[in-house]
Amino acid sequence: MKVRRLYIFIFCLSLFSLSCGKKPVFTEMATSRLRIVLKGTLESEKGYMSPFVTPAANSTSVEDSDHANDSVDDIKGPSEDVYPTKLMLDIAEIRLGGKKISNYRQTFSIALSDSEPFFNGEGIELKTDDPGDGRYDTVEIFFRKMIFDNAKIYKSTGSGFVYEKDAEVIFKEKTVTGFDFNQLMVNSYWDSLRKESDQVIRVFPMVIPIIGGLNYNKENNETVLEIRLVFKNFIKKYEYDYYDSGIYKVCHYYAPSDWLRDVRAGESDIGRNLHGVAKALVKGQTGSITVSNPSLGYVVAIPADEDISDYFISKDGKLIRDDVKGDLPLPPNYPGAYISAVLDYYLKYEKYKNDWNTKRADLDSSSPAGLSDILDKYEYYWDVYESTVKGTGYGLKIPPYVGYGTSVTFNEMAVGSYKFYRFDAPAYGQLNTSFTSLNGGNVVTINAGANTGF
Amino acid sequence: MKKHFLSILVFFICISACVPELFAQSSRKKYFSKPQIGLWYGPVTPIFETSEYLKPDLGGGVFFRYNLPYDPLKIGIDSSYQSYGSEGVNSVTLIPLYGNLLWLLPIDLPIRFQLKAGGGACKVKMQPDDIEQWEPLLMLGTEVSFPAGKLANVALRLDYLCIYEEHMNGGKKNGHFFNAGISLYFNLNL
Repeated sequence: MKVRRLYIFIFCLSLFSLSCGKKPVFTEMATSRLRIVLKGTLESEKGYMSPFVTPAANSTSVEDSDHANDSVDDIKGPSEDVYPTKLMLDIAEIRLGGKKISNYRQTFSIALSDSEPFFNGEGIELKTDDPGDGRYDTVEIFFRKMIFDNAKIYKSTGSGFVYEKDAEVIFKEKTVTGFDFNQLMVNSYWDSLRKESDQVIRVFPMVIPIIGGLNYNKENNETVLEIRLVFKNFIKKYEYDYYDSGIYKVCHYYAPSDWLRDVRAGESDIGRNLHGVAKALVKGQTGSITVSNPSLGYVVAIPADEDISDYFISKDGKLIRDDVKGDLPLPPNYPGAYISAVLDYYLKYEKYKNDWNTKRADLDSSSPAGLSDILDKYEYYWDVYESTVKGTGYGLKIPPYVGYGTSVTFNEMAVGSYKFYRFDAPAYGQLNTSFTSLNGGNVVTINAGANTGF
Repeated sequence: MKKHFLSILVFFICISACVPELFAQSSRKKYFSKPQIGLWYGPVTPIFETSEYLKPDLGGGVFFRYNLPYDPLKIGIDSSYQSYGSEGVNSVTLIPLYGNLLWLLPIDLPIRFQLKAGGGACKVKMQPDDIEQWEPLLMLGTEVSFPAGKLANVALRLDYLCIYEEHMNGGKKNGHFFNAGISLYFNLNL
């Protein structure tokens, strides 16, 4: 009997020694403590959203036809153009700070409507595994495809353009009508004088800063990582030019607005115009606050140690680009061995040379910052452009907390210190170019639970 | 590809070792009663709730068995390497190390049936969480073998492994795995 007790004691002791201070692996795998939600809005707060605007496809705000050098230049305002109704996303992989947390393929087909969780502040949940404990400052989403429907193809008749058909693309292994603008989400300079002339893909992955960082600890309650991509009321029409068997064609498609980095006639790259932000919350470690807004518009909060100037640009992106004197024209694309197309190409090439010389003379006659060498001037203008459009680091930042209304309640703010600002609702397809301080510019400390508003 | 090649190689070694002796007429019981050392290779799969988050793969291992004074019983020590991926980014690697008691069923056929039960520990590595720890393990299994001469035996082994975690702080689930393997083992003159 005593021997049996000894065996039981030894068994229990060995169990204890094999388990002391250890984590249950299989329970861990079956448990998800990190919830990632994806939203397509500038606003972060459900219930404090600006309503969806659905402008006409040929309106100035969608087509940018008020600017002489817009992407849509060959055929303006055709009656066949229709504003998109659906956004399709195909996500291949998600990483946190470079460490893979999901390789589940996830596809979403989202109607452009306030009733969609993607656009009403609720968000759609992304399937991921939990990361290891640690601090993460970025989340990387590998977008395989991003598609808006209602893309139209027009072909040249020599004297004009006629509608040919709707553009088609494969989404989720099926052919759908639409245009995958993901393939054009690169940030490139077409001029080989710049080292940035190499195309840089910005959405595979799209690196999104986590404002305030994500301090992930498995001992905590559920952690929520909210990722927002600005799609709502930020969609514009572009024109993609190409030759098909010697016939010049254009495709009118929709993609995030080029408000920051203006896309001009003949240019195909539209990169760095999709703006994203992420913020992390630990359930039970959040506070709420109600902020009065002097007039209808947006209320935003950023961590107290952040600089508000990282969150806006001083003027519209197309005006910033107008200031670049070394903005040389694009050469025409060679159409292939089709005689009429090649003749057309040589005509365009003559025009390109003339335009190039005009721009060069314009650059040569300027003397920015006392520079005399033309290459130095060229570099100077583009450097100024890059810094003005926040081209370094993660690019233009989007505030982590944004609400729309005359009084905004932020229900879940991570505990910490914040500065509050406001701005009027910008025009369709634009973000703000200035902020006004709220609460006298004073820092507000958010504690867990309800906080006194102002 | 490498795993397929190894599977085919093990299969042909087994077959070529046993074919000449398949029709051996004399009893091999006395050879079988010797200490044995062997290896196995085959599919390993998570079962029950564990199959919800891990995917099957191929694994292999080695074992050693020694006689007890009572002939139908043997004791053995067994170790293997099993790596499991998942639909996501989690992966688990197991290195079980356990002792077991084997009972040769008293059936007078050239094919031998054994039941086994045992326990020990299992080294569990989980990525990307970078967890690496030893955990208690329990096992049950059966084995069907036939002699391939005086020296070798060929077997099909089926084992159930339970990695016991429910006693841990916060542990709500155990790991359940099923191993099937073709085994080749040798009778030793110790």
